Amino acid sequence: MFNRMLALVVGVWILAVQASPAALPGDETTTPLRGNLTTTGSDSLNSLMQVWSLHFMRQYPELNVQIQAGGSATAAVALTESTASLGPMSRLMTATERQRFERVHGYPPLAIPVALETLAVFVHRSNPLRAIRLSELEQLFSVEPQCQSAKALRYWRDLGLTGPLSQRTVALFGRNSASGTYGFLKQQLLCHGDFRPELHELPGAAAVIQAVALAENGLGIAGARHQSAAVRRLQLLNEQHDVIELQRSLYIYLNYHPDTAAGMAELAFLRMVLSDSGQQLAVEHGYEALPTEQRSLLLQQLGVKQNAS
Amino acid sequence: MQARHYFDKISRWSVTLVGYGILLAFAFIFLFLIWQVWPLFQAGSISPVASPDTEPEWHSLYQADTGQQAELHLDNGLQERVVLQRDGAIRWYLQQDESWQLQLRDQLTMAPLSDAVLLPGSRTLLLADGSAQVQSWFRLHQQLIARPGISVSDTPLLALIPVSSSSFFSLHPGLLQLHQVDSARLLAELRLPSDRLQHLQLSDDRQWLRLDWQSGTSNWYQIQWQHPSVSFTQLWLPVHYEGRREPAYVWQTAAAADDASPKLSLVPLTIGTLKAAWYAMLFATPLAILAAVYTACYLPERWRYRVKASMEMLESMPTVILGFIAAFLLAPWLEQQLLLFFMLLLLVPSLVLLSSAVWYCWRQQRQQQAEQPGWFVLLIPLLLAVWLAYIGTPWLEQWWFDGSLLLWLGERGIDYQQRNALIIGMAMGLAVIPSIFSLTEDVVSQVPPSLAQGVLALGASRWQALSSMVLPVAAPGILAAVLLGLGRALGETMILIMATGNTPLLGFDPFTGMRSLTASLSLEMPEAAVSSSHFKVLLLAALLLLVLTFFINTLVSVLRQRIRQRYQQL
Amino acid sequence: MRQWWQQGSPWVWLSASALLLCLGLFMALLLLITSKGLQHLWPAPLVQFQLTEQTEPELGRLMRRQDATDGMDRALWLVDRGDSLQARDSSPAGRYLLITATELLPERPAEAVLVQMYDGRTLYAWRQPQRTADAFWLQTGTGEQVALPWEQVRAHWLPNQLSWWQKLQLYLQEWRHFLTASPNQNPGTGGIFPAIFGTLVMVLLMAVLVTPFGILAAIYLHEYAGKNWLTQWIRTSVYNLAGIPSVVMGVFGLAFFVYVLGGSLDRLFYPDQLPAPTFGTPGLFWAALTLALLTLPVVIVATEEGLAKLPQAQRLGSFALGATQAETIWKVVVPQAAPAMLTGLILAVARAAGEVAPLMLVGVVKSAPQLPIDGQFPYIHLERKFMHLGYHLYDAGFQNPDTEVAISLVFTIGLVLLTLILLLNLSAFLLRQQLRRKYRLID
Repeated sequence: MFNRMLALVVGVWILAVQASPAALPGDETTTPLRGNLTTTGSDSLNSLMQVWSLHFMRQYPELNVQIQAGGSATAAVALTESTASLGPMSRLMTATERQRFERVHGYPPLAIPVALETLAVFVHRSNPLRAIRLSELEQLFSVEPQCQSAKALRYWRDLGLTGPLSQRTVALFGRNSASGTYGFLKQQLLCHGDFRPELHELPGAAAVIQAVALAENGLGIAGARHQSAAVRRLQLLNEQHDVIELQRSLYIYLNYHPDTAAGMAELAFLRMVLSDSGQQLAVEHGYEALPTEQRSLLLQQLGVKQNAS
Repeated sequence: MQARHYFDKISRWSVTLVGYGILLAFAFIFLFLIWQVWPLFQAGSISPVASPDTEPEWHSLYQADTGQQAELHLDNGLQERVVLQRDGAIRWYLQQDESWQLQLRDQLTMAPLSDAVLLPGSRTLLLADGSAQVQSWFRLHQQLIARPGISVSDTPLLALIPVSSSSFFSLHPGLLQLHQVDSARLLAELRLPSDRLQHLQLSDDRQWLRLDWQSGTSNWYQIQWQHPSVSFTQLWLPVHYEGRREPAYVWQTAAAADDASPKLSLVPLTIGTLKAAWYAMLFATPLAILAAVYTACYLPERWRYRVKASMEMLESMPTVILGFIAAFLLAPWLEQQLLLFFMLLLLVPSLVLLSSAVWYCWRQQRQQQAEQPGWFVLLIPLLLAVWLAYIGTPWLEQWWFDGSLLLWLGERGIDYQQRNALIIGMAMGLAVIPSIFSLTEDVVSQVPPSLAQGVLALGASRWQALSSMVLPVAAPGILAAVLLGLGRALGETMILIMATGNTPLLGFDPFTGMRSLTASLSLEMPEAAVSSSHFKVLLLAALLLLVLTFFINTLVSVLRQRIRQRYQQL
Repeated sequence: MRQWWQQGSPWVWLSASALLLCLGLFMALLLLITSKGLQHLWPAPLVQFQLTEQTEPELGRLMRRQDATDGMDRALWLVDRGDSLQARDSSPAGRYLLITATELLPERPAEAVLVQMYDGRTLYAWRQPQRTADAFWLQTGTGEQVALPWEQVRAHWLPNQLSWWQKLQLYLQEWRHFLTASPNQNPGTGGIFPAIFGTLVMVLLMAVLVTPFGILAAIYLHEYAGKNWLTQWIRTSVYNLAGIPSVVMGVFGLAFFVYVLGGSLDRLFYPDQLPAPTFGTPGLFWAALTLALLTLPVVIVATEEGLAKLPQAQRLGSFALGATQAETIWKVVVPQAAPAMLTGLILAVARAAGEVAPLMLVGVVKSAPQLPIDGQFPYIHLERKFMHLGYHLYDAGFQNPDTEVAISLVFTIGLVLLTLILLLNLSAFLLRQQLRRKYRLID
């Protein structure tokens, strides 16, 4: 059990890699591109996709980038059904999703990590709580805690609060099941257990923040960059009371035919995303940039010749 | 002349075609959904094939062994190991830091064990003891919990063969059965030759099966899984899933998790839909019907027309706005002012009744007809009620509820969630009031006036005429109006997505939220992979909604026709 | 007492108050939406506040009063500090501040300027006297002076110096910008033009699809259909079509139109584009088709009502002159019932404009920078995804972490949507009114 917790902690806390990225090629404008580029998928990546697409369309004014964001699971479906050519996801595809894609197309989809995002736990701004342990979080969210303790927590007093709030139940807010956040938490936080039915499943991270801002007894999990003045971010602690962060990679999936390769526009878009300016945009909008080495490796994979100088 | 004749013919045909087209379109929606949902209830099968299309990666699942060991060693791929003795003694080990630690030790009371397996990727242990029931246990922390047994063929059991985290084969002489663990259901069956099975292999994607016989021959089979995690039991009855202490109705689609099969119980969603509709109707029906009756019978013609027209316009109010107001303004307000809300609920009708009595007596004393109060007179009790509630609430809350109604409820074990059925009742009630109102107003005002005139001539008051003659005649129409509202409430989506929190809870508790069929449809439809069980179950939910509203609307249409006939007769 | 009850006085009172309550609730709702929706763009004055003695005074906009949560009885103000100039994002964490009334400085600086930038940010700063041709000089809250290039500035004004008339002008100007500009990358800023345009194109396309079928079906039901069980069935299915939950229609649209029809279209006509979809993805055409199916009964019912109102004598007169039934219908009945058909169409459009749930499944997106109609061949792009006012409202309300902006923005969009729908309804109502008057004259 301790092992698993440790694995989780090691797995998810790569403390923010904020180093300013060194110069990488891949941003140059070449042939004009036109047509439609549809992306369907993660809501966590939505605002970033919008920023990127605006940036991209400034380079290629005749290209039309259409963005739909219903959750990561929609990306897998859209790529398999060919209703989109780019699928931003906030988690990796599951085996079932990959198999389904392969069965339709005959080759596996290509996953490109594009940025990092930190998840955070939020409470109402008047809440006296300052920190919460991962195990407590599991006991709150799980219908039958699976990881360590069998005891479920329901009230604020169970988290050690006193005062009027302690008598009230913890109102839980999270993302809907289509989202990568949901799946990520289910695997990493709940040890594959089920969420409590009392969990409010909201369609969007911003909706989680809004709901917590309006509910004094609320507690929600959403991307850290959504923080607003009306909510307070809790520190996350592990069992040894060290501060940790829940960090995950965000991906863009691509229908990448091994022989004929993907369309020009898709590749150009990904090159822009992995370029310095693309990553700079990500940092400006509250995400974290990928480490430079990883990016250069990915750019190489995408068929860009690395300029040593 | 000829051309005119043909034009007439063509016009008749094309118009008739479109007319029939309406019927066909409606029937097609039905049939399409049924056709899509149909595979859900088809049994799986294992059918022999010459050889698989492409050579898949095989996994060996079963190898005929020679003798019986005294101890069974089982592994589930999650760094857990189980050691079983034939008498039912069980030890469960977990791997921690390179060493195996005993997590659980138990003694099961059962007949001598014939075979046991630990399903891969799960903590479920299946035990066979020679009877036609396979026992199913799983570990939860330091405890073994029993799930319902699984019936297998009553011929002697040769072996249990694990397939996935929720399915297994049972091998009998001349028979191979594929079972689902959660619903204890037989998925498929395969008759085997009488030869002895040497080796059983399954392909990576679990589509192909290869059996090697002792005689040296091999056979290939294709497994049609269909939809193993969907059955009547799983959709409508409580199911005991692994990791839970008791059977429950669970809706967790878990498209995101890799290994778990989706838990698709339609019960919480159906109850959510009904609950939302129930509270909305509770709020809307009395208000709309009373208001419509008053409009039809008491308002002067000009006002009647205006009120009706504006109500009809409000019918097309976008519900997305109502949902937003309910979620972001009404819900936090109601949480703060719950007692005020109840006070208003109590004070408004009682003060209205009281002032009606006062008004009546006052008029009686002055020997005047006491029927219709003016607008300003009517406003008095309403405003008075609001004022009294505002004044009285803090005082009452302090004195009776120890300062806070929410905490008082909490101490009595009543959980108040901010996004609850009361909010939905009000927001969705507002959305259905116009539909109920306009149809009720229609049927009441169209009652032939001669009916009431007779009673009025006998000296009855207008209300007496109304309640004894008009309303009984119009009753089917009013019922139709209520049903129309109900149909609309059942199908409403945006208010429910935005203001409920989508919690798949059971029961009709007014202080908790719900997750409706409609909200699940619009949230999960884009995420569900086409032809997956989840997608089909969502289509089933759509079909369910369609059937529900079909009954309601057909009833409405029949009632409306009946009332039209009745009016014509009068 | 008994007489009081028997004569029904309590019921009269109850039903009258019920009517009053209903109307009151709806009035309150409309008033709420209107007042909040109109507030959003009104140029509010800027105030100064000083957090400590040492710090420089800062500029802000007062949002509202709040009660203290710590139990102390003091007035708190929520202040909006605007976006900061340094970072290009507008993470709302530092944007709003709760201050006590004592921290608020009494005088309102005349030189306080509000700058709207092209990327959607709003800055509050002090205007500096030096003005150059290429930059706008400002002093920010931290005291430093910055030059803002003019090409980044969309608009700027001095809120504390404005007269009432100037404010009104500014207000109208901001409304124009809101209605005609595209959304910015910062959520909750910019305009809603693509959403309005998308809504209009979608409902027009839907109208084109629904009109012929709706009118023909109504003509069949009223002019041709015999009184038999088949007609009864068709009538019932019209009622049922009207009662199908809109989301179920959306599900049908996705499962049949998009996946089945669209997928086959792609395989037949656009095999070279695959795997990139053309029609096998939710889009404008499928959305219009789904909504056409949804609003078909509205057109049928309204048209049939119009046909029923037409005096039978006119038809008989036409027959008597030797006209065939087709000629009677197309030359006598239909032209006279045309206003009724238009009424039905307008009602259908009003219903379609307010629907969100089915559209979420069959083609609406949060952001589609290119409009479905543009100068590129073939000019109308039926396969494109589009933006829609109702969905934009849902999105603006639910996807914007900044609750303050989200709420007022939602009311503004809601006001636009509601105005559109109520205007459509009102025109249908007036048209119908006129029609009734006409028939009364004929009779």
